[in-house]
Amino acid sequence: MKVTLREVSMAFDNVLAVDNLNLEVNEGELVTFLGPSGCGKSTTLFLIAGIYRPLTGKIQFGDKEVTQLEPEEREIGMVFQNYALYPHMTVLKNILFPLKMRKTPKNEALQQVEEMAGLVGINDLLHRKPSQLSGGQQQRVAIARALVKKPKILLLDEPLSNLDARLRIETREEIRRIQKEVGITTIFVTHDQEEALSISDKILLMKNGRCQQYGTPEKLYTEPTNLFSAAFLGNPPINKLDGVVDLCGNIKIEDLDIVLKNTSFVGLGDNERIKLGVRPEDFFVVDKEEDFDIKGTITLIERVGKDLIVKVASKQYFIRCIFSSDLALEIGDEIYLKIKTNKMHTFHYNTEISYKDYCWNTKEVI
Amino acid sequence: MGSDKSYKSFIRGLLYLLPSLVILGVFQFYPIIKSLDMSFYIRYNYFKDVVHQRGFGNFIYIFNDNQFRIALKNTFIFALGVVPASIILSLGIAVLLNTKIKLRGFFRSIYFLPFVTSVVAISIVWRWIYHSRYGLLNYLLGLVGIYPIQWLTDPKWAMVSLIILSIWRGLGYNIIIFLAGLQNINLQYYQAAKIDGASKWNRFRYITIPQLSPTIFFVSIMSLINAFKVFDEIFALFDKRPGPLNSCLTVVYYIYDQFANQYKYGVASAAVYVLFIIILFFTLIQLYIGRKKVHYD
Repeated sequence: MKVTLREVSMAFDNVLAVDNLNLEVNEGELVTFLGPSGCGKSTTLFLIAGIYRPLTGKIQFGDKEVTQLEPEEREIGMVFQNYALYPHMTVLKNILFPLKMRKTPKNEALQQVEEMAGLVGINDLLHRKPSQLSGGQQQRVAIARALVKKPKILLLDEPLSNLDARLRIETREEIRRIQKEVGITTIFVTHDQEEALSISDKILLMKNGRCQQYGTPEKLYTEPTNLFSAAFLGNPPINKLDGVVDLCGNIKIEDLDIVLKNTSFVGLGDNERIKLGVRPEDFFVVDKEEDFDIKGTITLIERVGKDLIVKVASKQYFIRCIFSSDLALEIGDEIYLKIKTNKMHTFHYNTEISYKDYCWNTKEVI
Repeated sequence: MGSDKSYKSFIRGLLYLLPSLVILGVFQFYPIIKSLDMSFYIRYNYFKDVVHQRGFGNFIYIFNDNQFRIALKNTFIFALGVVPASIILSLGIAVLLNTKIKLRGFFRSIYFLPFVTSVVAISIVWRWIYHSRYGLLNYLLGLVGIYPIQWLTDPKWAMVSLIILSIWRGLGYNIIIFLAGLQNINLQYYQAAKIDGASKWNRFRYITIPQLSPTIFFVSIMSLINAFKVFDEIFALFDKRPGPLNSCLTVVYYIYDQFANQYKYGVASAAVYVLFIIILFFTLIQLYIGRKKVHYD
């Protein structure tokens, strides 16, 4: 079912937790609410669940307004951060509970529980108590309990934060599989950008209760609308640089004491201050004799699988780059880098909003 | 060396404990053992502490004593009247106080007041409330057209009066314990239950009750033990008498009467141990039920 939020705001003790949020989640999509802690993402989820009531604004499921409905009337399933499995009930009774509340006939209910347990793969755990399960198993039980009543919307509040790294990756794939199999509209809250990038159809990036950007993971990564969005996504994080651009598109980067000549970034006034973001993968190594942008010294090499994360010091400033591990690099080496200027992100100096939308690649026009 | 050192520290520890051990010994352990011994005294001089004969005579006596049978019956009626009603009432009030109502701190104190006030003072106030002519209760009943009830002088109503007073008095303590238990329940279970479609009643039935079961269990054991030991309220409410026509004669009152009025020290001690066995028996039953029904998760 489609979920629509219209100008929704929420405050706790006069502190705005959600500030005028508009959102549309289409039927069958998996949308992630992403942001640092305290950004209002869980609050927004709880507003959709009906556990909190918005101060202003409307929430719609499909064509029906649900703003004032109790959670029990909203036909939603939810998985809590610490699962909130009823500790005094067995796994079977936990999953049975939503059906029991609906007065589903016992045989039918048991059959549905069996089916759901099969879907999440916990058939052999049905007679245990939650305290006898591992984190991953509890997680599956929580998902089964959320899905057994066939809700219209599934809400997941940081469901992977209590799992260890490997299990987290496994479980998020599992969640994606189950979500696809059931075809349910799903909202997933996380503070982990990697998690968000890997499983979402769309990401809502939030900060201070406001939407920063809403779109596909690819869009958020390649076309961030502001510096926060650019910096929040990607690991290692984007390199932030301050620059001054002139009328010819020469960008002077003071931190590194270099000038990027004749970029296509023009259209601003002369000597306009801007902020730049360069992703770690948007550098390439060149020879000393070639035309290079940055000259630096390697201070740290981190091997992550087939990639090398390289920290380069240049004029008191550190740049993080990522290269394929076939490059023979050593700590202490001199390195010459060139920036892929067409992949570079530029932002207004004060508002930190991306220039992309209105003056990138306008050289031809002028 | 090592054992010498630990022996020394053992002695030192013992010295630290000595004051409280002496007090406990004199006022707790000695009376317990002495009264057990006394329950077997048959021919004795209490003041010279000389015993000529020991035997089971006292136990035979009390089981043949009609007064003791009345006392047992009254005690059971009292416990049955007080314990379930008190638990249900205090749980209900605790649940209400646990919601976000205004002045909840004020109400909490109000309910707790009877517990910290002297029983005698309370009983004297209630004697006025229960007064057949000038009492508040009969006045209120009169407003709805109920004929005045002889609360304290009619043998049929005396026990009811005593039960009402005891429930009211025990409420505050139970409420505080229940409130503490309620506040320990993770709110997320309620949120999860809401999302699972549970109504208010079902949330109470399937979340509150099981989660609170250790507390309910504790309160029921304590209430039952206290109910079996009722005495002060009777003494004060009925002016040192066990109610009209022995209608409020309970086991502890019987013990007091045998000891202080009849000077039958052996019989009193035997009755003490009969009461002890009864309380032990019911507590064991509760423990047995508790092990099956209480969730300590």
